Formats: sequence, C-alpha cells, structure tokens
Amino acid sequence: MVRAQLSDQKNISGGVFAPTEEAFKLTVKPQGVRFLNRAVQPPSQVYVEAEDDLAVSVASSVTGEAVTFNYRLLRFDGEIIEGQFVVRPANNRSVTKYSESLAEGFLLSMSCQATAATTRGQTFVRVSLTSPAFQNSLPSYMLMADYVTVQMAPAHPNGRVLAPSEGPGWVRGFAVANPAPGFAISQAVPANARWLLKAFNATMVTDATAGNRTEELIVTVGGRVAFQASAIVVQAPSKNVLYSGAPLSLVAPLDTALNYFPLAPSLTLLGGDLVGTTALGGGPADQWSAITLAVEEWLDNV
Amino acid sequence: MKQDANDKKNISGGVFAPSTDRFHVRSATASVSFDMEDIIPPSAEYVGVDDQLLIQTNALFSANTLLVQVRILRPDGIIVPLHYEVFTGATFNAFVTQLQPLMEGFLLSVVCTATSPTVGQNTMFASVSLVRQANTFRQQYRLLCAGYVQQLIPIGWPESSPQRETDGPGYPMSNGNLNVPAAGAGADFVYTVPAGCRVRVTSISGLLTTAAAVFNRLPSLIIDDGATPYAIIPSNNTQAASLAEQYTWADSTPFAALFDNKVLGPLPSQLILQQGHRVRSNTTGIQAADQWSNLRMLGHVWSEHN
Repeated sequence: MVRAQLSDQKNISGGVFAPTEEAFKLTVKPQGVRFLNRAVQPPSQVYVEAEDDLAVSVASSVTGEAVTFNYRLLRFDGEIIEGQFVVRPANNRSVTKYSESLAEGFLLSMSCQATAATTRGQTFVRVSLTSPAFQNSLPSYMLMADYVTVQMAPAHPNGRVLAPSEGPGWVRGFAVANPAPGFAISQAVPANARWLLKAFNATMVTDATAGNRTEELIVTVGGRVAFQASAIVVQAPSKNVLYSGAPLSLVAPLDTALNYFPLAPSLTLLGGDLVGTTALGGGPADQWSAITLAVEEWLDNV
Repeated sequence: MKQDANDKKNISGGVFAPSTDRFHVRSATASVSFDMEDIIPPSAEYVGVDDQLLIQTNALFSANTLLVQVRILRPDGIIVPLHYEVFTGATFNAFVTQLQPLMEGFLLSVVCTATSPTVGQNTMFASVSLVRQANTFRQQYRLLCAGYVQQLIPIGWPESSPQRETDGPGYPMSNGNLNVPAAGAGADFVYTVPAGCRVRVTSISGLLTTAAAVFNRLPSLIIDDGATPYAIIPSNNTQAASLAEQYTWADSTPFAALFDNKVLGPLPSQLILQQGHRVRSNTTGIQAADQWSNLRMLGHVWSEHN
C-alpha cells in the first residue's frame, strides 16, 4: 500500500515536509549474515545482582560543581531502564559518595558529565558496583575512574580506571593571601591536592629600617625543609622589588626592580606541604603582596 | 490508528509537525527482545577446577593489607563472592605472594583495594593472576590486573589496564620517608637506592660543619651505580675551619656562590637511579671532627622488582 504523501492535497497546513523514505530507496547487496532479533543475548558483560548498588564517589576543587550520571540497565524482564542522578561535591576536594540501588539485569552503559570543571585535575569521578556480600562497601566491580569536565564525559564501557594523580593536571595560577606586615609567606598545599610547583611571583616592599634583606624561597615537605634557595641579590630599605622563582639559569638582573629565586623543576608537593619565604634581615613593615604560585594541580587521595 | 495532526479536522489553523507514523519511527516499541533464561555466562574468563588465584603485593614505607574481592559464577548459576586479605608485613618493599584456591566457574570481576589510606599513590603495588595448580608463581597464564592501590584508589578486572611498577607519577618522597643515613664524624654521607626501588632525585642537601682543624674543605657530589661514578658535581665552594654551610644540589639549578651560608649546585635533569645506585658527598680535605648533618632529599620513588 502506498502511503499518503505529506505534501498532498490533504495537507492543508501548507508546510514543507521532508520527503518520505520511498524517495530514498537504497539498493544494496543482500546480507549474507542474519542477526537474531528475538531471544538475543544481553549485550553486556556486567551482570547486576538484585542487591547490587551503583556506587559513585566525586571530589572537586571547583565551586558549584554538579556531576550528572546517566546509566542504562537491561532489566531482567527485558525492559531497558534509564537512570539519572546528580552528585554535588563541595569545592574543598573532599569525597562525596552516593549509591543508587539497581534492579537485577545487565548494565549496558553509564557516563557522567560535569557542569563546572573545564580541565583535568579539577573534578574526579570513580564508579563501581558494590555488593552487600563485601563489607564496608568495598567495590565488587570497577567500572571507571577518571576526571570529568563539561565537555569530556568518561564512561563505561570504553572508559579508563585511573588514579587521580595520573595524566595531565590543572595548570593554574594560585593566588596567595598577603601575610601581615613584617611576616614571611607561608602557603600550605590544600588537603587532597598534589602540586607540581612551576613558578613563584611576588612583590616585596621594604620599609625604612636600615640594613639589606636577603629573601629566601623555602619549600617544606612532610614537615622538613626540602629545598631552600636565596635570591640572587639583596634588597635595600624602602625598595619595591618583584621576585620571580623559576627553573632558570640565573644572572643578576639588570633591572633593580627585579630579583630571582632559583627553583628546582619537579618539586612535587602533597597536602600540608609548604611553599614560603624566609629572610635574613628585615623591618616590621616589610610587606609581601601580589603573590602568585604557578602550579600543576591534581586531586590526590580521593 | 493515530489522528493526522494536519487533517481537516484540525481547525486551529496552526502548523504542526507531521505525525510520527508517517516516518515509520519505531522507537515507541522495541523490535528486539532479550533472552533472560538461557544466558551465556557474562565473562570470557573460564576458571577450571585446577586454577588458582595468584596474588602478589608489596608496600613501600609501612605495612599495609591488600583486600581482594572476587566474584565467580558457579556452574549451578550461583554467584560466589570471595574475599582475600594479604598482609605485606613491615619489611620495606618486601614482595609477598599468596596462592588461593578457586572453584570452577566463570570469573565475573576482581577488585583490589588496601586498608591503609596512605596519602598519595604509588606506595602499594598489587597484581592478581590465574595459575594452574601445577605451575609455580612465575607461570601465571592470565594476568588479571596490576597497579598501585590504596584505600580509595582501587584497580580491577576486567576494566583496569594492567600497569607496571614503574608506571605512573611515582610517590613524592622527602627525607621523612626515604632517609639519607646520618654520616659519621669525618665521613661523607652516602644515600643508596633501596632494593626493589627506582628513585628520581629532585634535590639533595646537607649541612657541613667544619671542625677547628685548619684546612680547606672542597665538597663535591658523586653519583654512581654502586661502584663506577657517572656524574661528579663540584660545589664550587671552599669551606674553611669552624664554619657551618648548607649545600644543596638540585635538578637543573645553576651554580650559586656561597650566600647566607648556603651553596647551590646542579643535578642532572630528571636524574633516575636504579637499585644500588648511590648519591654521595666527596669532601676533599675532610677532617676527623667534621660533620655532615641536616641531610634531606626530595624526589619520587617507584617499586621496581626485576
């Protein structure tokens, strides 16, 4: 039976519609293979028992993050169930956990997407199945673990199971609050973060107290000083000098408003480690300001 | 039969999309049905009656317990959960091996975690394999999963890509967890990469306190493979008697002359040392009462069992 044309006289709306599929008749070589479409084996290796949960953990360093998880489950009765839930982690890199009870069946796929993270190193997601057969919610099947962003939607299957410190991280400028006058800089690496310290930049304005200042960059790892280096030249009273630290071959700057710290590359720091300064000489009103650290950051221990 | 949205009965005058039945869209009713009674076991890994689970693990720095969760679909259709715990012991980086019996069936999943929430990664390595009963632990026929684990960072089969011990970012270490041994009076310090480890050195630092004996001391740093030096790095500094000066050699930094009792010298960039390799001071003119102290090192460490 020939179907009615959309643009025939019965179509009184006057709209222009796409032509019917008859206009695109394709002639292909008949297939030699025939596929089942009845009593098909479930297209998944992930059998879900009735008491299993889909367990997710999310950690993030960005504000307002919300990770949306989508999954498809082929239920025991042959129906495909689509599920969705949202997890909103805090921005302090702590782990937020959520479990979704599943019906018996086969997990066909799951994926997730973020609303705030724009690069690796910001929001990490781990997804597994858990079973009450294993105490303390230990995972029974790892599905995926990776960073998620607003564009990149890691998934199962064809996702990866990674640790948060693997792969590229978040390259960022970290603004450090000014210390009080007369005090040195001391910035702790946030808990559950891993930093690769790439550069340091800050301004020191010395007061009128007599005597030169020797500023030093100091890195404390695990409670012990691990790296310490003096600036190339001293700073006199009542001067405004910009200090930079980077892995460079250093020479005394021609511009007296600049000073350099030598800095080793590959300085990797964990939560609680310190980046700061110390000084030989100084005045009560010496002031550090405009302090920025260039770091590559990963979430760690999440 | 659905009503045509565009037929004459539509007296609203609005323009509507054509009804779906005109395009024979079949999303409303699935054409495929699934067999839920005679299912092929959802696993490509058959476990024979003689097969065993080989678990190997080692931990840097402190004792830890590896937790292994296994699920096997038995021939009678029952899914059996199995849980194993392997204690590494307190011996630094010791390799622990366990063989565990299994049952015939299909392996559904394996997951490894650890009890200790060690900060960071790359402190506990684990691998899980299948072996035949007659085989030794070196004759596993199927590697299931391998990688670094901790309490919050599991690995599993079938989804995890197996790692080697030297894969990944390494564990950031400082003097607190991989010590440079104290040096005796009148002796140079020596750091030796422990057995089963690979170390990348970012910086090494020590304080030389010279005694009253009048003599010029000329500290240098030597890096060797346990016997033959492959880098000898001077400090470019002469230290006289009765002084305390801190020497730091760091990755790619320039030489910096003595300033505020501190001396800076370079290390080769990305300096990776294997087990038995050494980083040691070599102080020409060192006197009996001179003392190296305040020794500290920064870098990364991986397990590496050959």
